[in-house]
Amino acid sequence: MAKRITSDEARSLWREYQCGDMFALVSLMQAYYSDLFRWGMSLHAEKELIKDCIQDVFLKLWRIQQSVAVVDNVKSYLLVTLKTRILQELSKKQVTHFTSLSEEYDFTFEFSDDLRLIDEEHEIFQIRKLNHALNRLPGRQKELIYLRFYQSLNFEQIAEVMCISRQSVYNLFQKSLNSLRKFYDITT
Amino acid sequence: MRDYQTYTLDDFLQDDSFRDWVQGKECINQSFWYSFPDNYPDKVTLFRQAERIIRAIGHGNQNISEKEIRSEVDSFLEQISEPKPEVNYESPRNFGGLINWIPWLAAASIVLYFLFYKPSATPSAVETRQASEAVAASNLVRTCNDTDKLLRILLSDSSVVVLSPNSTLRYPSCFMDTSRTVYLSGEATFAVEKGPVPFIVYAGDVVTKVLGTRFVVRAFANDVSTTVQVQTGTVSVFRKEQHSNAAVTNEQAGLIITANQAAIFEKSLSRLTKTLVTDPVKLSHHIDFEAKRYDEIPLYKILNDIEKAYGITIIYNRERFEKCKITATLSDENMYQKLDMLCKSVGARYEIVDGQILIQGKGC
Repeated sequence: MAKRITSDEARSLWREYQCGDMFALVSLMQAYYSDLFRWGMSLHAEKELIKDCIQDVFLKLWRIQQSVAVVDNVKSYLLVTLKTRILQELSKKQVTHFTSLSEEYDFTFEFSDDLRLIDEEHEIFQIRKLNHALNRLPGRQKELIYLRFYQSLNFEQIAEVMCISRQSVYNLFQKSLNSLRKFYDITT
Repeated sequence: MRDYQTYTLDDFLQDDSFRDWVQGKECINQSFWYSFPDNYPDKVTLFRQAERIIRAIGHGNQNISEKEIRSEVDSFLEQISEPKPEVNYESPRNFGGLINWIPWLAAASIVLYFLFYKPSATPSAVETRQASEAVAASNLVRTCNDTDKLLRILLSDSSVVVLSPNSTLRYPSCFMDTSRTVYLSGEATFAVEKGPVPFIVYAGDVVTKVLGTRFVVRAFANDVSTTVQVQTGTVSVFRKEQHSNAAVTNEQAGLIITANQAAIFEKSLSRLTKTLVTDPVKLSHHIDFEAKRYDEIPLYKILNDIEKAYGITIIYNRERFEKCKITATLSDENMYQKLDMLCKSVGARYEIVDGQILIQGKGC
């Protein structure tokens, strides 16, 4: 698995890329490729299309290198850019019902439970129940859980990716925990 | 700072190390998490709930292999290595190549980076200023490299300057006994001979005085900041105004930066701050981190090794961290990654403060 880079490292690389260092951009691509791929696939599960979109995103970044601004959250910037690109591609192909970037797309990711190392039947039951609940979350809530625990984004970064305010993210997060609360007693 | 006593469900779910442990991934602090319920009995309920949620979320099933990623990245690199069709600016392309020839530099050397330069019809304010200084200083030679190859210049003190394309160096044909000052606009590599007077480089708004050996100056007109990065040795960095005053009062009003430190001059704020280079280079060959395994070794010993290896001071509360023992393997990850690993395993975090590493945490 690729080594994680810190957001400070990403910011440095971004600055270097801004100054014309193409190897910095390549390093960013290498570091975030896996995350971008999984994110893309959760929006639309067509491997070749997603790979092409990722290439497009970075090629465009290289083309606009001179005019690009400082970015604080490189990862969420890349995720948003990729999402935009994918939705553009899809609307071109008229494959889906996506009309806008924010509200209407279907977050199709399926959480798949991980029952390795669990022997106790009761535990297995609880986890399955929870998995079921997670997968039944409304799209937006599911996406938030995904971004928080798969992509390790903080609330600010999630706000950028989901095009909503930080407060909305927080509220949505509480909502999702509440949804799960129905399945067992969650103390926060 | 990790205060596990006040951990909420969300804190657990956000904790990379915790998640890795639940998912059975390689992680340093497995023993920490295994014994967590014993050490923090109040947190057991949340701990178990978080564990369940993480298991319910499960693995990603849409992964891509390392090999495929490499091939995608290679193909991208190939595409951008073709020259761009637009030619409304000139900028050297392989800065990555520059970084690779740092080893080329002999013992005492300075590398100056200049990453973006737009040749303009009218000279920029910086160049005009430099030009007038050049006139004021007697008989400066002006060498401009407008070829696309490197240009080697031998100075009168036997220092060598390798000037990159689109760069200009102004220097006296013969250094006097009292000073060795040159003016750079663009990018150059210096091999500075030790001498009776300090070697001074004016580049943009920043003056760099060589007290030691290797450093990097990043001074380009279009950027918001100018950076000086030191690889080995010691360098003193001043803001231009300060420097002229210092000459009169003999006060060192600038920053002294040493190996792997960096000074950043933010132009708009006119502020000079000290931090660390983006890619700390190992200085000492005595400490070889090639799969160096630490078995129940006190944290402070490992931190000492890192200090020696990179020449950077690490500050932490020795009492608090005295009892921390680490079992880990450090190898070729960079300095920041090593610190990440170590900090996570003792529930601490690090910060770069004034060119040093500051580690904060409750300890063990």
